[in-house]
Amino acid sequence: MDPSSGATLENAHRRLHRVVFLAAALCLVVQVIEGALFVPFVLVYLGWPQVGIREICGELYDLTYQDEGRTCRHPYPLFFRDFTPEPDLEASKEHVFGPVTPPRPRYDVPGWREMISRVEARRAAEASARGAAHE
Amino acid sequence: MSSAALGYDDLLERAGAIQRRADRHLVVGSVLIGTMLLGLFGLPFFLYGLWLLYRAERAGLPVRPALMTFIGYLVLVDGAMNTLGGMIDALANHSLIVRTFIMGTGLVFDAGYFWQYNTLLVGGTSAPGEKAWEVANGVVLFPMRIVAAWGFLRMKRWGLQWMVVSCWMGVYAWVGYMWNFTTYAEMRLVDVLAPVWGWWLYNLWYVTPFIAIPFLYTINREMFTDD
Repeated sequence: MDPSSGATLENAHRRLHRVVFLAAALCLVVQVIEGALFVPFVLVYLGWPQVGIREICGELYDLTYQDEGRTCRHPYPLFFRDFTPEPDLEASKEHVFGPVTPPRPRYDVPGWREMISRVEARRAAEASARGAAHE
Repeated sequence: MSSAALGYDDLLERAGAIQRRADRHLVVGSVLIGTMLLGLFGLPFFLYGLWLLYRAERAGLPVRPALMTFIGYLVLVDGAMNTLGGMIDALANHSLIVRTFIMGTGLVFDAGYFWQYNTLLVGGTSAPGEKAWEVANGVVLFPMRIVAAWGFLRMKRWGLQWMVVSCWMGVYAWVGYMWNFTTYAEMRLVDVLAPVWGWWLYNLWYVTPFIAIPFLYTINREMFTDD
């Protein structure tokens, strides 16, 4: 490789590359700081090491499920599903959370050409209502 | 030692050895930083790698240009962080440290990672649509970007090509993720410590594709001759 070829071509976009260099350097520095310090920051924010990670985890569960006394089971067994702390199948807590995920639609799906009978029923109801109004 | 005292081949060999050594440290550092949980241990490796390259450049050795190193490792760290971040939430959402860290993060920045955490069958975040983006990005896009960045840093032809391909995929993912996030913003940015400004504070720095694409199209492609 001719070392000068890179240099001359880079000159054509020197200003663009200067901007790219500064942006890349800034983003890299922040990403590295974030990657290295995010976990310690969150843990310290939540009170570690005065309170243990397990206690923090339990408090977080209490908060998100709005249910006092939930604990973080640890170690969590591999083939085990505890419906108490992770209630994906428990009765809806919609009154606490608002709409739950995933939301359940709860409507009757119309059957094959059932729309015809539905529309006819509606027409009939409307017609009789009109008839009643005339009398 | 003055580089002028060495022959051209010796110089290349010496620069290559330093380059490899620096890259080893930088990759180990990047991946550890990418785990976030072990990020603090990755920092010394990463800084040492950068320092090796800086010192070699000061000594006049022909190492890879700093701009390329920065772009390559920016994509690599970004890829590692997003791959592992998505995957620990999708697969390791019942380990103690992950529950605490992710729910803690959710409390501070993004209620999608706190609200009804671990209530779905798959576990992890319950934010609408978020799991799909985690899997699509963490299984397809970001692993691809890690490999592309590695090929790019080793100045392989496929490395440059895959950087271009995966950067455009990154633009697509960014637009899709952001629209999903914004659609459910009322669920995700309410009742958090740092709402919209917090999002900018920690997420702005992942605009990697938008920074890399103009560079990739104006770089001298003749440099990428290795297959």
